[in-house]
Amino acid sequence: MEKPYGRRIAAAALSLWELDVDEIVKEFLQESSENLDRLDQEFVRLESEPENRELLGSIFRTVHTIKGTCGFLGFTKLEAIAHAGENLLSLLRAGDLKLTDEIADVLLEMADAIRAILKEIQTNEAEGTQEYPELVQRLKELQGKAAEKKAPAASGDGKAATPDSLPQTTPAARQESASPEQRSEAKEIQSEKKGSSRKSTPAVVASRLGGALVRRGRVRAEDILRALELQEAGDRRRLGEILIELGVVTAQEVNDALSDKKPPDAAEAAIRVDVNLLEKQMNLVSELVLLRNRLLQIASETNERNLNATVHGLNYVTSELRKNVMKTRMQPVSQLFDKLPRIVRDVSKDLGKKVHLETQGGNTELDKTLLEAIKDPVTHILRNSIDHGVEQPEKRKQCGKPETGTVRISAFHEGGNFHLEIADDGAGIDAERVKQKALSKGLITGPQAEKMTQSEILNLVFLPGLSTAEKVTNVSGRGVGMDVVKTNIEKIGGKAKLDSTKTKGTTVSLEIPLTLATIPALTVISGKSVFAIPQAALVEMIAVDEADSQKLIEMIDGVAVFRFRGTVLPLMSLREELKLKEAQTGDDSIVKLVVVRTEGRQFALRVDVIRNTEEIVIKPLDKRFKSIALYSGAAVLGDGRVALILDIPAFARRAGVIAGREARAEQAAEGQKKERLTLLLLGGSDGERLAIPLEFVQRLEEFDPAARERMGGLDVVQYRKEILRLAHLEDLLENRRTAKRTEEGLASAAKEKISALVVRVDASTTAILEVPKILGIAKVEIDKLAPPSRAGVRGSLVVQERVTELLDMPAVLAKLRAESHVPGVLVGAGTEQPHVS
Amino acid sequence: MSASQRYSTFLLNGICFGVHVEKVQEVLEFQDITPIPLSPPVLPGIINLRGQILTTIDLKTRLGISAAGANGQQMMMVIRTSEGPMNLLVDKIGAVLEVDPDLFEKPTETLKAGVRAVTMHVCKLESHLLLVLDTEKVIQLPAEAGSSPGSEQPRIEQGAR
Repeated sequence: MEKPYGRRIAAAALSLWELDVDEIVKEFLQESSENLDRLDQEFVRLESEPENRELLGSIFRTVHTIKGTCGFLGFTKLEAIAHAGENLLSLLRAGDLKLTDEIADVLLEMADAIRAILKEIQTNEAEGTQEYPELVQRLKELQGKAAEKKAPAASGDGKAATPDSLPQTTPAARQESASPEQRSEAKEIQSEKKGSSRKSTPAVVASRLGGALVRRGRVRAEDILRALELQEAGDRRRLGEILIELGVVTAQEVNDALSDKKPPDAAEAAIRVDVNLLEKQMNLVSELVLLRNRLLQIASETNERNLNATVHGLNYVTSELRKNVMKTRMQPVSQLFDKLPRIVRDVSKDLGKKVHLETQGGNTELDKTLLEAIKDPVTHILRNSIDHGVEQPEKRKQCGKPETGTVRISAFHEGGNFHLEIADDGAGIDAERVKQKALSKGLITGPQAEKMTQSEILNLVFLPGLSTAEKVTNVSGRGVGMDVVKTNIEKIGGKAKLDSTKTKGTTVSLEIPLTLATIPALTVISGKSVFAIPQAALVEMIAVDEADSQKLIEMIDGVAVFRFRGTVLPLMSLREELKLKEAQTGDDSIVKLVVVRTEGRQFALRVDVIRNTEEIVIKPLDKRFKSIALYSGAAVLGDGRVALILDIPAFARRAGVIAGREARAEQAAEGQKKERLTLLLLGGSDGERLAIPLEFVQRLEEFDPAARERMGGLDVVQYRKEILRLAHLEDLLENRRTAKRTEEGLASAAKEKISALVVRVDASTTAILEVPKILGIAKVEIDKLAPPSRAGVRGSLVVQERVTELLDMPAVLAKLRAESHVPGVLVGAGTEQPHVS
Repeated sequence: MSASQRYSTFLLNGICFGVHVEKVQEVLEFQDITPIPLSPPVLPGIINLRGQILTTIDLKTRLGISAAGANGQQMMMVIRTSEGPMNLLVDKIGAVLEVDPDLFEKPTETLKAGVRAVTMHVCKLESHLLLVLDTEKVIQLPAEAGSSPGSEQPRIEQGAR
């Protein structure tokens, strides 16, 4: 709710000498900057709804307020600009002038100028030396234009409209002489009225006086309406005077109503607090949480009933306190959203594009410092979306898209995190071009490029030095931006991800922790050390009997993999990865595994003991430990022990789950030839051995032979409610003895279960690749391959003393894609899923 | 004659070292160090000092002094540095000595390179030598000591900020 500034300041003027003028200026600055932010937004909205009187009224009031106050405080330069702007706005509001691009530009410029001067006042306590004669001149010129047009423009406007057809705005707009306070009051009463069951007469609430009188039960709404009608008909007297004349109130009652204090509203129930104070409070509460944790631990070791009861009380109060302090720092993301329409307008105008901004979830809350921290990255992504994403109107037309592009920004909470998605419906990113660019800049090597998934390639845009924009504009395309975006987001513990479909658009997703203060984490022990795994990365904890683990954990050539719900996950032992020498703690007859996820990939970590989950306060680790790159910080636990927080993405890179950025960059720099691959070994039907890099395999599955169905001349299976193409791997390779498979293979296939790999053909298509026999997994280092003997094969090498053909999976998948395309059809409800073992 | 200065002294393998008292935050009995796996021996780990996490530097390893000669439990000296408090692992804490700066001499060439690099002054006392350390230099680990044997790939610095 806007505050009637001028009025309050004027009241303050009476006792100015007792007041701290600095305080007034400070408050003026703060409120004005809030007003200006709203102004930006309203101007942009106004461009799409130039006839919106309510909007115009609101803009006018804001500028009027600024003008009034700065005149009072002696900021003449500011006053001159605001005054010129106000005059122009009043013409717009009266309908004497239609909003044009030119006017919108000048008005926005005015807002910028006001903002610049306000900033100057804030830092130097004076208006500064910058003059704006041209701006004032242009504001005045545009007013002049209105005068010429006045005759035709004035005829068709608001005056003809009845209060019923323009219920909200006409009376307010008519009340030229009313103070801003009166108008804001009017608005307030309107909403009050709207809520009540009584059929309200909107015009009744036109003024503060009317509202106050109605509220006091002195006057019926109908009487005020009558008075207003008289005013409209040309009665120049003020509302109070008319009402007295009509005999519905006494002069005394009018005076009482006029001096009526505003009822306390939401704004007055809130106070402004120094952010630093909150910061300090938060730190103290964090420490308190730690102390409480220790105390809980100590209390649990004794049998003191009194102590235990007290500690439990403390526990509860501390938790509540923490929750509440955190809440004080939460801010709706709309604070950020409100600043965006202006950016969209300026950037798109600059580039001659038409862009419509949609925001969703503005009331989603986020810690203030985090909100502050994502401001620049989000602005940058938005600029990028408009600059590189959305095409020029003509081009969009050619592509059959609406001329106006849409950028949709949505915020939501999920999984204890704050998510923000910025999606455009523009040209999308050409993964092939990103790849070529990355190759040409040496950011990745050829073999690496081959094993990268579509998504990994797209996310290369976050690497420094990679910009796919053909030309550098002043908006973006200098190849520094996206890197900075990612760095800034990661700095606050968040993640940035990009997804794009060529010609369809690009979506950048940010995932941010709700607060920096504490995070829930799972604590585990390996050797003698305690480690913390952030809950956000946690998928599942599994304990298996040593005996059973044989079946689930396979050690092939020293590489451990873990079968988890039909998936094969890389398995790492924390003890081995960290080279822990201490003896194993805990019961070793049970194998404990923690399944974690990062960037959509999962892997398992074997630990000695799974302890518990705790709220931990992340403390940064000394830069001297940075080179180890496996820890993201340290935390003091409830029992006073220190735990290292595991950097799960770093472990993933180590496990080869995701191609590491550092590894890529470094290998490129050194021109390293050796390639490390984890291979899935297959036995061909002809006795030959084949190998597929594991990263191309999403899952291993077995299907009942009966699950094989036919559709459009192709084999298909139902898998997870989708109909997927089932192709035999050997059919995709150039095969010399195909006959063998077709006769014998099919005969046996009728009885045996089908071994199959779930593979991703492209970003949107998944297929099932039938394979003859799965032999196991091997980790190999390849520096040289024997040349391939047939299409679909990259080359051959010796694995486990057998000659093995390494498949060229990109080629195989390309063939699969070319041969057939089964659209992802949803299997209707009630359909049984295939039997999956 | 200039005013005398006070130095907190400690022993490393029987050799007496000192740091200016103003650089010393506190002296601690030995307490549990949480090791950081894969970190070099010069960094035995971190400690929890009243909720604050401090990096511990094994001063003997840092100065290249043989680890032998330590009898019993080592002690800790928390020093104030430009990077905040740091914890030094020493053999034994000695007295606070008042030293006349006139007695200060430049470290001689005969000192071991590792020690000389971080020694500000050498001071001949009646019974023994006192080596005054430059704490800021002590906490800057030489490249080879700072790099971890566990990390296979040297990290690429992400440009200056």
